[in-house]
Amino acid sequence: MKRHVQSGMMMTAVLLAVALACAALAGGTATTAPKPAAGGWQRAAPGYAWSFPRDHYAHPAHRTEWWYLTGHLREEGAPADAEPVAFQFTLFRIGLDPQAPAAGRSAWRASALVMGHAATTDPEAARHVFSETLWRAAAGLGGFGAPGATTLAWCAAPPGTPGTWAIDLVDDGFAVRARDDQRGLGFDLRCVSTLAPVLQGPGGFSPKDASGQAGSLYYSLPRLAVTGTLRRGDRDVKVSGQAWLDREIFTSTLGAAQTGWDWVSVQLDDGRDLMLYRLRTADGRVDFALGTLTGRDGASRALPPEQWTLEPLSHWTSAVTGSAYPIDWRLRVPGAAIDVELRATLADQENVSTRTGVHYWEGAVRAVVPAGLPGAGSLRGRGFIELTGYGKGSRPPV
Amino acid sequence: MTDHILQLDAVTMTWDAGEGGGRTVLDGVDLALARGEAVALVGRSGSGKSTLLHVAAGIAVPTGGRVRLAGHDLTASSEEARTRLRREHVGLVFQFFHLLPHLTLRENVAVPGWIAGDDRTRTRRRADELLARVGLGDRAGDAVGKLSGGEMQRVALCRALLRGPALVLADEPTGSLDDRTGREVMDLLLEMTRAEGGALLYVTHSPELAARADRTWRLVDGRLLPGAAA
Amino acid sequence: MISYLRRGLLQYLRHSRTLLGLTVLGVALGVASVVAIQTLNQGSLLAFDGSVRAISGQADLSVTGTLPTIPESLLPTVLGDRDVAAAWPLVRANVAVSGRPDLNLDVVGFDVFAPVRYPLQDAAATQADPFASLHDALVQPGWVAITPELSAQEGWKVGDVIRVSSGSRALALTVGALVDFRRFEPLAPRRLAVMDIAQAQEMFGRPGRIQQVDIVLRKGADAAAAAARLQAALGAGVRVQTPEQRRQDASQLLAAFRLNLTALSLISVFVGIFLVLTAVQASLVRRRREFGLLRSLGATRAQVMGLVLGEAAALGVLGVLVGIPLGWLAARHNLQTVSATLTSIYVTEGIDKLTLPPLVIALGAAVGLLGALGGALLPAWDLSRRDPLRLLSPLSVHEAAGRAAGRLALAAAALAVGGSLWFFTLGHGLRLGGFLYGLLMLLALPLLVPLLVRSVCGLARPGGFGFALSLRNLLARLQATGFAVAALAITVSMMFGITILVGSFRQTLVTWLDVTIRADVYISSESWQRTGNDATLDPALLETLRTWPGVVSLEEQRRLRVLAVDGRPVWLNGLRLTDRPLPGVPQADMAGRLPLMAGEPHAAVAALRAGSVLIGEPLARKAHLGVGDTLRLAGPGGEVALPIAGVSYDYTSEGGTAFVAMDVLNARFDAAPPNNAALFLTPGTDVEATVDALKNALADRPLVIRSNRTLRREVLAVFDQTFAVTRTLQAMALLIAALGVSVTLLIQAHERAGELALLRALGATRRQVFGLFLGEGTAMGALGLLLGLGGGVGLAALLILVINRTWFGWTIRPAWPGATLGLQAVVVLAVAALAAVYPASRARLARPGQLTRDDL
Repeated sequence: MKRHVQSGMMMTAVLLAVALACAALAGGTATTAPKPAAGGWQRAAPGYAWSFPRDHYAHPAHRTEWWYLTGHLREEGAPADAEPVAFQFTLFRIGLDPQAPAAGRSAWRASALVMGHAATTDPEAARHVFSETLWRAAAGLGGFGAPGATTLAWCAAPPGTPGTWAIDLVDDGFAVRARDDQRGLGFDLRCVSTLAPVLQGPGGFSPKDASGQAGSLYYSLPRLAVTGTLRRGDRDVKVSGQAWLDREIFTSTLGAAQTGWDWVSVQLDDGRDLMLYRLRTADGRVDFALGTLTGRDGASRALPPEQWTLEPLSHWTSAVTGSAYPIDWRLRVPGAAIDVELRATLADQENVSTRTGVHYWEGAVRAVVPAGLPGAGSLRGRGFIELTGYGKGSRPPV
Repeated sequence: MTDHILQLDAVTMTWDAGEGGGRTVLDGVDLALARGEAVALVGRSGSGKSTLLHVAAGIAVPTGGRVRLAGHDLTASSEEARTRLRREHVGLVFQFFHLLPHLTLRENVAVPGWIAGDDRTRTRRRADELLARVGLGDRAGDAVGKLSGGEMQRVALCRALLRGPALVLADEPTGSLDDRTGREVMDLLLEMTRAEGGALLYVTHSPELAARADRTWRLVDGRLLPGAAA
Repeated sequence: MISYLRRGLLQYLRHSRTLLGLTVLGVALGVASVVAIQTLNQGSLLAFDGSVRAISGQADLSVTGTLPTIPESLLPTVLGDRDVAAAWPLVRANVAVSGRPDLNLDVVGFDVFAPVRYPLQDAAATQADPFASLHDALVQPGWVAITPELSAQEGWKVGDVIRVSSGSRALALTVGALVDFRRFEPLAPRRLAVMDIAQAQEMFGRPGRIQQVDIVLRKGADAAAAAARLQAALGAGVRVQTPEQRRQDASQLLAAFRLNLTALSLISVFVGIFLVLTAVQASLVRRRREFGLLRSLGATRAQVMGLVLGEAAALGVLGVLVGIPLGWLAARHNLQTVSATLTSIYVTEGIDKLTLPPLVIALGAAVGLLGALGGALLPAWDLSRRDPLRLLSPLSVHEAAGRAAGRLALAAAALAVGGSLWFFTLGHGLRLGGFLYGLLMLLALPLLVPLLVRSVCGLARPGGFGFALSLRNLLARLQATGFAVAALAITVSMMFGITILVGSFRQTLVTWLDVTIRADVYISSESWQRTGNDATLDPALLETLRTWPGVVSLEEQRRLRVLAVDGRPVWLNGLRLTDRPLPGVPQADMAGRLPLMAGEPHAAVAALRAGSVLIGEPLARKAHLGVGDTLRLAGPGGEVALPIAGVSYDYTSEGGTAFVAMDVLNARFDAAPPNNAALFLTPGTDVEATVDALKNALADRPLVIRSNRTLRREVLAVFDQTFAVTRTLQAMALLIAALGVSVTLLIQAHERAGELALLRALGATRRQVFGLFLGEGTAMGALGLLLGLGGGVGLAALLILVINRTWFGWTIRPAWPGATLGLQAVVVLAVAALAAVYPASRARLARPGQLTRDDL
C-alpha cells in the first residue's frame, strides 16, 4: 500500500517530470487528485482471483505495477561478520493506454513506459550507487512479457551501457539483471523462493485509506534465496544472500492529503518477516497505516496500526537534496514480542532520480536489540526502509 | 535716343550693408554714351567704376534709376532678357583676361558665338580673322596657357569683339600689363572698336590712357563729375 | 592640430552640407551593400544553425544516414556505447500545408519521453491534469505543437486543424500545444513543428525508419573518439557528425551562392571607395590654399596628411553610422527572395528571421572606415608632398590633366597581361582564382579612364555651346572627374557582366528545357520540392493516371539524396524507362531527351537499362568523372559502384545529379514509390484540357499537376527569383556611382564659379549653364558606359567561362541580351544626367559679376 501510494506518486512524478522536461511547466503543486480509473483503466478491487505464475506477469489493464526487489548479499568467502552488500532493483510499468497498439502501427506506439531503478549499497566501501532508466515500452527499448514468456519485464540499460535490465521468470524463481557501466553498478542474480506468494491485505487487496475501497493488488515473496554475481568496486564478485520481492498492481493514486510514506520490511533471524507502512500527511501526521507479519511457515496476519509503534531515533540530512530523513527507528510489536532498533548500514542511501526529479531514501537496515536491553546491539535480523516525501523537492505534486 | 547706345538716368546703387544702412556706390548717375563713342572712366579705387560697368552690362541691377542699353530698359528686364541683351550688344574685357585655359585661342574667342548659337563656320572664320588682326593668327589652335599677358588680353579683346557688339565695356584692360604692352593693347582696343563701329567705355587709372578717349568721366564717391577732356 | 581638424570639419559641415551628405551617403551605400549581403549570407547559415540548434541543441553528436533514413534498430547500439549519456531518435519530415504553396512545416517527431528538452507550452494543462498535452500527444491523432510565431502568423490556435500533405497523401494535424523554440534559440525557424515520434512515423515516415539519432555524451568524453567508435559500430550507411560538421556541410552547400553575393557586394564597396576618393580629392582641391597656408605656417607634411585622413575618417564614421542601418533594411527587403532561393534551389532552411551579427557590423565598419581612409590616402599623400608655395599659387587647371594617362594605361595593360598570365598558368587551378582574376581586371579598368577620357574628349571639337564643350570640360578636369567616370565604369561592368551572365544562363536553360522537358503533363506533390524522397505518389494514383484517356505513356521518376563515397551529396534520380516503343510519340524517346555532353544517347539509354549511371555536368566537373569512370556511392550496405555511361548537361543542382534505372535505385539503395510522374499524351490531345480534367478529378489529392508549358514557366520563374537579389546590388552600385557624378559636379560647380561667371558675363543664360552641367553629367555617364561595356563583356566572359564552371560546374552558352543591355545603358545615362541635375541647378546660380582676380 505504501508502495502503492509510492507508485501512484512515482508515476505521477514520472509523468509530470516528463511533462516538465518537455513542457517546462512550472512546478505545479496541484492539490487535487486526478480522477482514478480514468481513460478505461481497471481499478484494483477486493476479491481479485490470484493465479500464479500468471500474476507474476504484467497486468496491462491496470495503470501501474512494479516488481520490487530488495536484498542483502554476502560476497563468497567473506568473513561471517562482514556487513553484506545490499541491493535494490525495481522495474515499473507505467501505463499510457489500456489498449495495446493496433498491429501495423509504428514501433514507437507504446501503451506503457518502463522505468527501472537499481541501487547497491556497500557498507565496507561506504558507497551507495543508484541508477535509473526510463523508456517507452516499445521499439526495442523495453517491454513486458505475456504469460508464458521467460521475461516478465525488461528495458534497455541506461545510455552508456549495452544490454538490458530485466526480471525473468525461471524454473525455480526469478532471474534479475541490471548494469550501469558509467556508475559502476551491476548484478546478475537468481532468486529462488521456497514459499508461496504472501498476499498482503485481505485477499491480496491492500487498502490505501480507511474506506477500504481504494488500494492495490499486493503480494510479496519475502524470503528469496539469492545467488549470482555483483559489481563490487571494479570487479564482479560471486554473492549469495536473501531478497524480498514486492509486487503491486493498481490504477488509482494517492489521496490529496497524503504526501509521503514510510515503509519497512524486516527479515528476522527467527524466520518471521514483517512489513509495515504508514502514509503521512503534510503536517507529518500518519493518515493510514497497516502491516503484515508472516510466520516461518508462510502464514501471515495483518497488523493494524494500534498493534505496533515506529519511532524515529536519528535523522540524516542529504547534502544533495537537503532532505532530512529519519533513518534509524525503534520498532515495537508487543503482540509479537518484537522490539528492535532499525539501524541504517550506511547513512547515505538516498536515491536521486534525475529523470523524474524524485528523491527518496531506500536503505538497508540492521535490526538490533535496543540500547539498554540485555544483549543491546546484537543482530536480530535485516531489513529495508523506504522513506518518501521528505524534503521540498521530494514532495510529489499530486 | 537711338543714337545713344547706353543711357543711365539717376542710377543709384546701394549695397545692402546690414545695420547702419547701406553703402551708396552709385549716387544719381546720369550719363549717355553715343554709338561709336569712346569714353574713359576714371576714379579712385572704390569710387564705383566697376559697379557702373556691371550696371551698364546688365550684370547688376541698380537700386534706383533707369538703364537703357541699345534702347532697351535694362532695369525693367528680367535676368534672362538682360543676359540676352548683354549677349547681343555688349563685349566685355577684363583686367585679368579670364580666358578658359582648356580651350584654344580660337575657341576662347569663339565662346560668345557658341553661346549665342551663331553659325559655327562663320564664328570660326570671324575668330581667326580677329586673331589675325591682333597678330595671333598663326597661333589660333594653340592652348592659351603659354601666352603672355599681353597676348592673352589680345585674345580677350578678340572675344569681346567677336559678335561686333555695339558697346565694349573694358574694366582696366591694361591693369595687369606693363606700360608698353598696355599701350599696345589699348591701341588695339580703341582701333578695333572703332573699326567695328562700337562704342567703348573703359576704366583706367592711367591719365595717359584716359586721354586717348573722346571723353573722360570721373566718378567721385559714386557721383559722376564731368572730367577734363584731356 | 586636432582642434584644427575639429574646426575644419565643422566648417566643412556648415558650408558643404550637400557635398558632405552625398559623400556620406555614398560611403553609407557601400557599407550598406556589404552589410546587406553579409547579413543575408550569415542569415542563410544562421538559419541552418538555428534549425540545428533548436532541434539538436543539446546534442554532441548526430547520426544521420547516407540515405535520407536510417533504421531505428540502430538505437540500442548507440545507447550501448560507453560514452553516451543520452540518445534519442528523430523522425523528420517536411510537409506541405495544403493550399499554401509557400508554406511548409518542418515536422520533428521526437520521443516525448526521451530527455530531450523541447520548450513545449502546454496550453491544455490544468491543475487537475498538468500533463494533458502529453497524453494527447500520444493518443490524439495528428497532435502537433507549433511555434508561437507560426501560430501568430497563421492565426492557428490550439485545437485548430492544419491540413497538410506528404506526397500524394493528404493528412490532418491538430495543434495541441505551442513549442517556443525561440526561448532558447532565437533563430529557430518558425515553421518547426514537433509531435510524438510514433505519430510522425505513421503519418509521414516509413516503418522502422528514422531520420536521425541525437546523442549527448557524458561529461569529459572525447567527441571525436566517440564519433569514430560509433561510426565503426554502425557501419557505412550512416554518418556520425558533430553539429559543427553538419554546419560545415551546410556551409559548403551554400559556398558558391554566398561567394557570388559577396563578390557582388564587394563591387559596391569598390565603387564606394572611388566615391570617397572623389569627394576627398575635391575637398582637398578646394582647400589646397588652406593647406598651403598651414604648411607655410609650419605644419609638417605628416600633420597635413593626418588632417586629411582625419577628415576622411570622420566621413567614414558617418557613412558607417548611416550605412549599417541602411544595409539592414536592404537585407530585410531582399529576405524573401533570398530565402525563397535557399529553399527552392538549395533545399535548405529558408531565413525567416534575420539578425545583425556583431561580425557583420564590424565588417561594415571596417569597410566604411578603411574605404574612406583608402580613398583619402592617395590625395592626402599627393597633397602633403607638394611644397607650400605651389599650394598657395592659383591652380593651373591643366595640371597633371591627362599627363599620366599613358602611364596609367600602361599600368592597366601590365595588370591585365600579368593577371592573365598568372591566371592561365597558375590561377585557374585555385578555386578563388577566377574571382581574383576578375578583381585584377576590375582594378585595371579605372586606370584606363584617363586615356579614354583623353582620347574621346580630345576628339571633341566644340563648335557651339553643347555636348562637345561638356566633353572638353571633362577633359580639362580629368583629375577631378576621372574618379566618377571610373566608378561608373566599374558599376557598368558589373551590371553588364551580370546581365550578360543571367541572359546567357537563361537562354541556355531555355534550350535545355526544350530538350529535356518533353512530356505533356507533369505530376508531383505539394511536398515534393522539399521533402524529396518521402513525398511519394500512391501506386493506385499512378494506375489512374496511366489509364487516363489520352495517356499513351507514363514515366515514373524518383529523386533520392545519397552520398558519394567521398561524402559529396548526390541527387540520385531513378527513371522507369518505357519498355514499349511509342509510335507517333517521338518525344517520349528517352534517347532524344538526353542532353548529353559526353556519350552517345542510344548507347547511354541501353547502358542505363543495364545498370549504368548517367551523371550531370556539375558532378562530372567537380568530382572529375567522365564516361567510362565509376561513380562510387555510399549505399545502405556499403559502397555501390556504378559505371558512368554518359554525362549530361544539368542545371537542376549545382551539387551532383545522377540518373539510374528505377530498378537499380530500388534494389541497391532504397525501395519506395516514385515522387514524380510524367505523362505523354496521344498527339493532338488538348494538353491544358487534360490538365484541367486531372485537376478536377484529383482535387482532393495534394498534387501539383502542370502542363509542359506551366512547368517551364515555373522553372524560369524560380530562375529569375534566384537572380533577383543581384538587381538590388546593381541598383545600389549604380546609385553610388551616380552619387559620384553628383559629388564631382557639385564640386565643379563650386570650383568653376569663375568660369561660369565668365560665361554668364559673356551672355550665357542660366539655362545654358544648367545644360552645360547636365551635358557633363551625361558625358560622364557615356564615358563610364563605354569603358564599362568593355569591362562588362570581359566580366561576363569570366563569369560564364570560368567562375560558373568552377563553382557551379555547368556550361553556359554565351548570349547577348541586347534589349536588356540597351535598356540598362539608357538607365545609366539617365541616372548620370539625373545625378547632374542638382549640381547643374547650383551651377546656374553663378553670378556674372563675381569674377575675381584668381578665377580661371
